[in-house]
Amino acid sequence: MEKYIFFGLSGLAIFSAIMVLVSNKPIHNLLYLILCFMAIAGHYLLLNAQFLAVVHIIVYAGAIMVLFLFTLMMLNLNLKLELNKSLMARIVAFVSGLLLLVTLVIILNGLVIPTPKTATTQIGMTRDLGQVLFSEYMVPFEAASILFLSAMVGAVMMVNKNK
Amino acid sequence: MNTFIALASLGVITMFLGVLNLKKWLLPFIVAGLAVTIAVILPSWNNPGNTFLDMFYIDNFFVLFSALMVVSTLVVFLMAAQYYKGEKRSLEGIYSIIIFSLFGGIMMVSAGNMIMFFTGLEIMSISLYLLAGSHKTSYESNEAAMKYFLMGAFASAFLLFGIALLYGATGSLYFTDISSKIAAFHGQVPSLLKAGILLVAIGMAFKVAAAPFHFWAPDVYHGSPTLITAYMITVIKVAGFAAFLRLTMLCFGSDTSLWVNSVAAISAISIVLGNFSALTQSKSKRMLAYSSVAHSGYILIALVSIQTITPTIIAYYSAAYVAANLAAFIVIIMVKQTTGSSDFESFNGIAKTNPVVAACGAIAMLSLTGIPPLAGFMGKYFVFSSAIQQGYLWLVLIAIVGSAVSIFYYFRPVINMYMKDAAYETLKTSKLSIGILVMLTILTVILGLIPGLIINL
Repeated sequence: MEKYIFFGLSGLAIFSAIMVLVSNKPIHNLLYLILCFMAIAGHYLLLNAQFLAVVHIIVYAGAIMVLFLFTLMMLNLNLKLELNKSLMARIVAFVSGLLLLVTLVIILNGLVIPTPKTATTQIGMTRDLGQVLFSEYMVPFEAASILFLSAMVGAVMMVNKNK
Repeated sequence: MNTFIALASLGVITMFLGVLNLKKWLLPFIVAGLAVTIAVILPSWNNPGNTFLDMFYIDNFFVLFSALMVVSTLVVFLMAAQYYKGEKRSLEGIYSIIIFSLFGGIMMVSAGNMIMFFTGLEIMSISLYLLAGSHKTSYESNEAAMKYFLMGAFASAFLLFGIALLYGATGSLYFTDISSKIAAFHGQVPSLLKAGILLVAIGMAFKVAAAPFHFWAPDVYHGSPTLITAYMITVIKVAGFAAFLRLTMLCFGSDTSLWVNSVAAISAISIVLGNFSALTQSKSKRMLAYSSVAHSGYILIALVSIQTITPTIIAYYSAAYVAANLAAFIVIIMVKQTTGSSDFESFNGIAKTNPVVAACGAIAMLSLTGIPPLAGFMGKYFVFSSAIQQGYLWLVLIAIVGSAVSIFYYFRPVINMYMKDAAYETLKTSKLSIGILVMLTILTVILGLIPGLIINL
């Protein structure tokens, strides 16, 4: 049963990720991206990581994507995106992307994929995660606050009116 | 840990000084704070500190590179007095972001765990995207910020994917655990591990601007405000290389055959592309950007010969590179403030108007080229000789040809300074900036004459 859910979710994630690239209406791209996030959140649930799944939906699908949506509406960008990349740039991008794909496929060729097991680990539960976060990963967790502080100061600096 | 606390509080207090309208005290306070940070770092020499469950290492390696980074940031802040003279907007934002990015860099250099490493890298990079765009009215600065942000985010994604694959292959995020797991495979490494190392290497090559992942560098270094470019090309480069070195020594060092050929190839391409692209540049900042790509190649040679090289050699090379580049950028800032442009033509005749500045600039260029007896030469000598011991003669030959080519472009500003006539009376200078310039030049000469100062530490 879990196997079918896993493959279903994976298919959905890949499909919506491709649609984000293919579709050329900004709002549609955004909605497909939210769908992709939802599918990945489903994967987290399969791995028994409830906290991560919920945070993923609240933060990405909820906060960030809605912010994107508002920006698009405010700027009134709901027109067809014109990709005016030159043919040369497209060919180069295609070739370099293909190179990475080929390299990864060659490297991962001999990979033995272990049969998926039912997740019995409790590490994804909120309680356990909190304990790890405030003991073992205390330093990076605290340091992340510097990251946000820096980003916030930068945002204020960027929108400040006096040049 | 004390280093992190000192830097973080320095950044926060800097912001508050701006809020309290104590603008006069901003720079003196930051300089004093950075001096305190150095005083906090140095006692850890030969005296390893608390590692916080192996999250980070406070060891001699950390002391060497973080002291170098803090000192170069100090020099950048001393230059800021002249660079931002007469600036009406409030500067505490820019200053505190510089300190935060230094915090990230030092965190990256001391990391013993992938999470710690990546958090440090992101603190550093995100601060830099903001700094690159801090000249808001300039079109080039905005372009630099946008390009740097997109490319940098892309590189971070590669790095993160690589870290995830490494975790999948070894089951740990700690450098030492990963290293012992790699050794335990006895050459029969799983493909996940290979893919992980490849992606991490690509991400790091992006961050240190090594070819063929250097395409953002010229535009970003040229478009950013000159002071920020000086900071990026010295402190951030050192942070990137120290972290790369730490990663290869602690994490991937147990099986060098996995990555050494790729790194050798990246190094060779960087040297060739960097040096030959620099030949055709007409703007000094772009030229130094390509020269920094070439220097990335030279330092990567050190990574190739990781078994024989010591961290002190790389620290020596970095110190020589930083001193010469900072001196060059002080001259560029003076020229740009006088003439409004940083093209080579603007360097015309400095030798007649300001002989001291011209002499210092020329010595910096000679050191970057690698002319004996300056520090740049000794750095290259030590790196190349350890690579020859490892049997990488072909790589050293490429590097020597690259150095020979580099004479052409490093000498163009020198020729302009000495052989042509100036279009102005004198450069806009201050006693402080001349003082720093002379100090850096003396350092370049002394380090070249007595390399043991750093090598034998």
